[in-house]
Amino acid sequence: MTMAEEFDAIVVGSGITGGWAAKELTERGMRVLMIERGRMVEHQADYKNELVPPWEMPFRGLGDPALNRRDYAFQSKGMHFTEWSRDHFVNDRENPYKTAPDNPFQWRRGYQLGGRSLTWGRQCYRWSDIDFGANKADGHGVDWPIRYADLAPWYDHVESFIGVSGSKEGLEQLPDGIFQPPMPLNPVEVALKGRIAHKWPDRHLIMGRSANMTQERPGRAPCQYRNICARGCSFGAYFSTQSSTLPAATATGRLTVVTDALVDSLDYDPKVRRITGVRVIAAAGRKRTTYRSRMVFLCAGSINSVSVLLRSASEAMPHGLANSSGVLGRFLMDHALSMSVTARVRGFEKHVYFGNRPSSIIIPRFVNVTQQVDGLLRGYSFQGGATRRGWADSINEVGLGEELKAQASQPGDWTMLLGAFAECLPYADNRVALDYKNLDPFGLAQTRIEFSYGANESRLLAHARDEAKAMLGLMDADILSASADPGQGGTAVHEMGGARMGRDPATSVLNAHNQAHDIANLFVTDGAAMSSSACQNPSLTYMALTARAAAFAAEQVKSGRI
Amino acid sequence: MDQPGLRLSRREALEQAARWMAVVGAVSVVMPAVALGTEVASPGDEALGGMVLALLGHVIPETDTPGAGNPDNVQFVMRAVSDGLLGVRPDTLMHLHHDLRQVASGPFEQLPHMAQAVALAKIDVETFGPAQPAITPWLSTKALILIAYFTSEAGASQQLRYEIVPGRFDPDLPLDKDWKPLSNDWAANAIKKGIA
Repeated sequence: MTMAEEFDAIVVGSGITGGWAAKELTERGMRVLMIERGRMVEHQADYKNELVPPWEMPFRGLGDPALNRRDYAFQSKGMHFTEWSRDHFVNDRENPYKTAPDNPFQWRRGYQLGGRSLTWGRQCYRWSDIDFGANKADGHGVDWPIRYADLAPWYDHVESFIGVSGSKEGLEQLPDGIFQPPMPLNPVEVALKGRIAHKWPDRHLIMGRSANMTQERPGRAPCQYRNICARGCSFGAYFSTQSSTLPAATATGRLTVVTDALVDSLDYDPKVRRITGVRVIAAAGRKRTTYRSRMVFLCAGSINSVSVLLRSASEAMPHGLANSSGVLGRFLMDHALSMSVTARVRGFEKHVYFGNRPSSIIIPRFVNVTQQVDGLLRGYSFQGGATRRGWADSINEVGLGEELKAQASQPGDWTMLLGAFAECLPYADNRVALDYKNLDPFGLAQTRIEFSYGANESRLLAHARDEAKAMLGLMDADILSASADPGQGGTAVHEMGGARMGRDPATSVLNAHNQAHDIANLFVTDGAAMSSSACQNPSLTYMALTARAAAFAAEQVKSGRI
Repeated sequence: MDQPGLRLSRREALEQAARWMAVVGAVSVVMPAVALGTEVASPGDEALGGMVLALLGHVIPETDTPGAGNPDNVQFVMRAVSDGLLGVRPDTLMHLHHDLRQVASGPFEQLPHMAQAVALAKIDVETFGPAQPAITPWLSTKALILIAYFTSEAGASQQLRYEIVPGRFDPDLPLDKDWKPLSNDWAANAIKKGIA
C-alpha cells in the first residue's frame, strides 16, 4: 500500500454530481482528485459510434442478442441502450449485484469517465415546496431539512451553466427557471394541449425542460436534433461531464483525474471523527492505493455511494460509516413508471415534421395540487409525446413487392404516448445492503438491492392511466394500449435515497448541507441524499444540491472547521 | 403442449409478440392460438440462403431504387435468426422453408419467380390476412426483411432519407407528394424502447 499525495478534496465518481463537485471545488481554489472506477472517455474522440450508420453496425443498431444476454442482461433493457451506445453501459456479468430473481431491480450503470451523464434522459425540473414539504405533510419519511428557497439560487446557478431549454409557465408545482428557448411542440401536441386546457384549465401540456440546448454556449453548439445523445455528442449540445463540468474544472489547473480505480472504502479516524483516506483498487493489477485529502465528496451514484459507506464499516462504526442512525441503505426509491396510454391519432395526416427532437412533453402534476384525490398520496406527472410512425408499422401488414415498398416508405399514423412517473414513497424495507457471501471480481462483497413498490404507487398509476385515457379521449384517437403496471424497480433510472438528508441525526445520515451528521468532512451529494422522490426527474436537484454543498464545504475549509 | 424446437407455444408466442411490441412500438399485434407443427429436417444453409435472397427480392423489389435482395441483407437475416435477434427462434428459417414447400411444388429457392410469388403471397395472406396476424415463421422473417432493407444503405438513404445531423427541428410541415421520411427518425421507427 502506498500513501499518495494529499488533496484538499477527493471526489468519488465522475458523473453528473461528481463533475459538479469537481467544478465547484476547484473554482473555489481547492486541489481536487476525481476518482472514476471506469475507463477514460475523452470528449468527442471516444464517441466511436456517434456517426456510424446502421448498415455499418453488425446488427444494424439492434445489438448482438447473444452478447446482450450474456453481458448486458440488465442494461440492455434500458431505453437508451443500443448497439451504438453499448460502450457507455456497464458489463453486468463483470460487475454483478444481487437482487430478487422474481422481481429484479434494474440497476442501470455507466462505469466510465462521465458515468451516466453520457446516457441520462436530460429532463431538468425544479422541485417545489410541495415536494420538499411532502414528507412533513403526510408523515411518510423524515422532513427535508431544506425548502425551495434554500435551493432556488443554486438551481439558477446550475441552469445558467448547463443550458436548459424550456418555457416559463408560472406553475406552483414546477417552478420556473433560467431557460433557453423551448423546443417546439408538433401539431398533435399543440392540439392536445389546447383541448386539455379547454376542459381542464389547471392541467398544462408543455414542452419538456431539457439539458439539450437551443442556443450555443462557449465551447458548445446548440442541439442538432439527432436524438442519439447516448452515443455521446461531439457538439456538446447536451450537458455531460465531458462537455461541461470537466472542462471547467480542468481549466482551473487544480484537478487531477484518476480512472480505472475502484474505491473500496474510506478510512475513518475515530479520535478526530474524520475521514483520513480513500482506499482504491486499480482495475488492472488490483494494486491498492490510499489517497488522502481534507474531505471527501461521495458522488458515485445512490447505490454505489451507499455501498462504499457500508464497506467502510470499522470497529468504531460497525454498521457502516456515518450510520449512527441505522438508516444507511434504507428508504431507497425509484419513480414508478408506466406507459399509461398509447393512442393512434387521426386528423393530422397532412402534417409531418423534420428532425429528431430529443425531448418529450410534460404534463406536470395536478393530483393533490389543483385536484385533491381521496386515497392517493403525493402525485404523478406525464411525459411522452406524439410521433409519426414510419416503415416499422408495415411489419404487421399484409402485402409484398412494389406496393409494400411504396406504402412502407410513406409517413405512417400519428401516435401519442403518455407515460406516468409516480412518486415513490420512502419505505424502510427498500434498501441497499452488502452480500458477503457473494464477492465481486475485486473481492468485495456484492451490493444487494431489495426493492418493491407499494399500494400507493399502484393506485397513482391506475389513476394516471384513467386520466391519460380521458385526456387522449379529447382527440379523434384509438387507444392502442393502456397500463398501470409499474414494472420493476430501477426502470425509471431515478434511484434515490439510502443516505437521506434530515434534521435529526437519529433518523437521517446527512444534514441540510449534504454533510454527514457523524463526520464533518464527508459529503454525499448524489441521489443517495434524497429524502423523498417527488415525481419530477431528480438530476437537476442533485446538481443544485452538489453545488450548494461544495460552496458550504469550501467555506468550512476556509474557516478552519474542516 | 410445448414442443421444444418446433413452432412457438402460446406462451412463447406471447413473449415474442411482446418483444416485437418493444421494437415496433405502437404496432398492433394480435395473438392467435398457435398450431403446433411437426419436426422438419434442415435443408442446409445454402438452400436457406437462397430462399432468403429470393424472399428479400419478393418483399422489396428493385424499382427506381435498389431492392432488398443482396448478400449483405441475406447475411443480416441469416445471422439475426441464428443469433435470436429480437427473440426470433433459430429454427425459424427451417420451418419457413418447410411451410413454403408445402404450398409450392418444390424447394422455394428452386422455383420459377412467378411460382415463388404465388406461394409467398399465399403464406403472406394466411399470416397477415383480414382476421389477424398469425405467429408464424413468416411473421418473424418478413419483419427481419423489412428491418434489413430499411437499415441498409439503399433503403435508409435512397428509398428513405438519411440525415444523421438534421440540424433543425421543423415541427409542422405540409406533407407533399415528394416527401421522404427520415430513416433515422428513431422514435418513428421505434429503435427507442420507451420515453425519454
